[in-house]
Amino acid sequence: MTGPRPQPSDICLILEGSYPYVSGGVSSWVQDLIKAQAPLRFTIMALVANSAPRQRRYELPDNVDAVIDVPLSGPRRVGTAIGAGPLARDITPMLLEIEKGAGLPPFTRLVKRLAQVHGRLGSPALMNSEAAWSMITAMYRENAPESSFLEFFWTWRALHGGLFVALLCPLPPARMYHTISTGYAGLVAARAAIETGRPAVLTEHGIYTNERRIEITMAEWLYDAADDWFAIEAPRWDLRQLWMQSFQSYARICYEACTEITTLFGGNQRLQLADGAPADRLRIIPNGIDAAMYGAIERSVEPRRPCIALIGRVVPIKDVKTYIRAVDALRRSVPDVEALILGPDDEDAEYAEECRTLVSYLGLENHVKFLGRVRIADYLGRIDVLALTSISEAQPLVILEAGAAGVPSVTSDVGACREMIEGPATENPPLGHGGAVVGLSSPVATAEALSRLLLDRDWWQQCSAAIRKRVNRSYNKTVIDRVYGTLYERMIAAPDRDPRELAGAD
Amino acid sequence: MAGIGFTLRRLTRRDDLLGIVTGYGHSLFVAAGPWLVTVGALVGINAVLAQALGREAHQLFGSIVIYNFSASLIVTGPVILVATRYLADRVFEKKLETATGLLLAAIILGTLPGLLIAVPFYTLVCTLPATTIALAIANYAVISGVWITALFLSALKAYVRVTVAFCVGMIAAFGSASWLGLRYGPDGALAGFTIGLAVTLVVIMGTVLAEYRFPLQRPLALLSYVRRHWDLALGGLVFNLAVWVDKWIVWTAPGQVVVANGLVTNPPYDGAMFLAYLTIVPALAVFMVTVETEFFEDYQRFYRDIGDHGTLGQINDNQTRLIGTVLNGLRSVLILQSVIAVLAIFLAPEIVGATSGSYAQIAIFRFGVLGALFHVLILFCMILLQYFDARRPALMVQVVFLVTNAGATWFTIDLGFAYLGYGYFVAALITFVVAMALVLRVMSRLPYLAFVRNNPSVYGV
Repeated sequence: MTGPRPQPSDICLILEGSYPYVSGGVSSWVQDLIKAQAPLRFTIMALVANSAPRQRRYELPDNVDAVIDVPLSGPRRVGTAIGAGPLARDITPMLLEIEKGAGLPPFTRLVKRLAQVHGRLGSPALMNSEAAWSMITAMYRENAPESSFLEFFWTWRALHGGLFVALLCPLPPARMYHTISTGYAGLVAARAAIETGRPAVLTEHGIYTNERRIEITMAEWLYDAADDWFAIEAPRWDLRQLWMQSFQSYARICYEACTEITTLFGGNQRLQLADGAPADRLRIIPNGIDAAMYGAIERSVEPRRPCIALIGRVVPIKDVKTYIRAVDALRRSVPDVEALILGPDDEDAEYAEECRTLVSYLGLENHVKFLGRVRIADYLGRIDVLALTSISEAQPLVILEAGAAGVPSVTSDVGACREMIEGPATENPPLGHGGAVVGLSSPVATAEALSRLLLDRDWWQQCSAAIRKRVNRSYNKTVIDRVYGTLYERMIAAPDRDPRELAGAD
Repeated sequence: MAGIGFTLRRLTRRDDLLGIVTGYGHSLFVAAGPWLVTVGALVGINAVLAQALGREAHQLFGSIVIYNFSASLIVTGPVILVATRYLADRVFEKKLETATGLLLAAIILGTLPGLLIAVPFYTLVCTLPATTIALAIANYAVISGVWITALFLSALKAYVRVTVAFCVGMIAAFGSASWLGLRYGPDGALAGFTIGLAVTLVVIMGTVLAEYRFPLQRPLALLSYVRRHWDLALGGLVFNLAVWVDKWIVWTAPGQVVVANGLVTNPPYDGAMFLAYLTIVPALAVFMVTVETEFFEDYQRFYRDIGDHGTLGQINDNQTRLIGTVLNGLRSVLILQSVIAVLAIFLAPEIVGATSGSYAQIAIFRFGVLGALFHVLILFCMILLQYFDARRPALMVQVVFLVTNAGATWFTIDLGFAYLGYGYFVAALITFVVAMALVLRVMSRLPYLAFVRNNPSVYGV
């Protein structure tokens, strides 16, 4: 009303607990994505825990129009709560349906009902008013009338606090909405799709509900945040189920509202399907690497011992001990093998020490070398085979980096490894194996696969060529950037969607 | 020290008449003890000195005591409520190290403002000899000190010790005031009464210091509490003003007596009212038993079951039960007090006559009795609101009492002497209705208040 409205950004990127305030893998990925997609313009909605001041860990690229913080725990005082009573009565059945996993239809009704109070009622009116109290007690009677009300109360608050913030926070205008996780960020994206008729896209790295599931199973933290006055003993299982069930429903809502749902590899897709993602919207977009840079590394020709390497931190999740045992088995067929461990060993000093002890116990001092943190590119030229023995990974880029340099890998069967080594089912024509995939914690199988690659020259050549080709074709960052670019262009150009179409709801 | 609740529960549950009688007697002793022995001492002093001192001197003594009681109750009210809250919070945390610092801060904060009023009043407004001025001011300071130190015992529910201290002090007061009064006139009476109060103060102070053996620390903590609990402080001021405002207004009405050019009182009205107040003594005893036994148990069960992972069904049952107990208690007090009020109203001429009051006081006394009936119920409601930490509703009751008592009394002054006291009665009745409505409203929302509104981790402090 006062002055011209600012031009909406092309993309509103909705992030939960990461960029630009937390550094890490996902945040770096976001930074790269934004830079690579210039000149498209971005607005960032950062869902953060609270309104405490926080520091940015990344320098914002020029094509970021704004960063909007959305604190998930908002103000507490109920101001005027006029209309909160009827509102609470109306939305209680919707919330119950959502909780039961009914997905988008009740969520759409909820968004529309709340749209009537935007700007008038804030989340405190839905959390701390007497109307909110009758909503909580009604849901308790429906959900878990025999459980500890104290625990239900805190669970309810934790779940719905974020939900209401996602539904009531100001939504910046944009041509499309992009979230990289389900959860509350996913709810914001779903709401945006409903309210604006613009497309929403989900590109998931880890599967949010799965990570939550692991957390909750281990969780004592659930009630740690609760008050000291309400001292708590042991959380009860039924409420954890409620918790999990709600996050699954939130994921389903996001899946059903998004036009495209991508993830890094096929294994994750199975989890997405299990959480209710419509199969026809699923797609894989892996992460890419700088194939040109790694492809330019020349293979060293000077005479040297056969060389294998594990590239990664010396920590239990990488299962370095299996690697060491594999070397022990390998030296029977390749007596002069050299086995490098490239990666910092200061993160878990105790584990690193155990690994060194194992090396000396097995008498492998002449084979295994701990080289610490190094520049991988300096070593790739003289590594013959890469070994990866991790017990858990998503899409380890080191296989691709080595692959681009023509180094085949032997990996455990985790995350996207099989897809990267054997090629995705959709690969046409199939490029063949770029190494071998073996079971978890299998030193003998690992040694056999390594030994074949080191001794069978033709096999090595085949694998090297296949992995190099596959990386260039499917995991090249410039290619992946174009894939995202095309995705964005398509969504930005899409006509406004009639919101009714989304849910089939009123 | 064993709490009063324990003693009362033990006595009233003994299931024999003696136990019940002893229980209520004990309750009477602690609930109204300090007040009764003070009244007793003053009546005794009057009886001994009335003839000897002569009307003028006698009225001077009485006026100064009334002024000092009234002013000190009002001025210390805010400090007492806030300090009680502070102490209760520390007791809950089991961190009483700052109690000694609190005592010092409360004494200074409670006494100094009153002295800032009392000193100019006695020196500039009244025309009094220097010794009388000094004694009046000393008397004021000691009374303030007694109110403030006593809270440190009542916060621990050590009511017996308070009553014992008053008994000892008031016996001394009667003795010394009579003896000194006969020898030195009103100054002597004042000095003697002050000595008695000082004995009370010393006994209480000794008990308090023996209880809280801590070095002085953080005496300024009270100030931040006053800021945070300003509504509590305001309530303390307003409620005591409300209790006294009708007297002040009537002091301007026919029947007024002016002593020393500044001390205005209205002995017929004041006397009738003080007499009427005495009728609530049995009700106080009954309600102390109710609050300290059944109510307190239900109250604790309500909050304990929440922490013990009760279901909402259990929480609501406990709430219903608590409401039932409150209504029962209220009914007992109401019935008892009604019987007493009816008796007092019928026997008014005899009662007033027995205290050698004037005929004109009978009407005032009757209204006073009716007013006191509701006044005691208001007190009951206030205690309940305090237990539920419903500070705003409590403040509302206090303000309503002040406004209605001032307004109604102001209005009745023009109706003539016979209607004095009618204002107080109407005000108490209206305030009781408001208070009862608020108590019921708070109790019906109790789970919401416990989980959300009064929960610092949900709603902030």
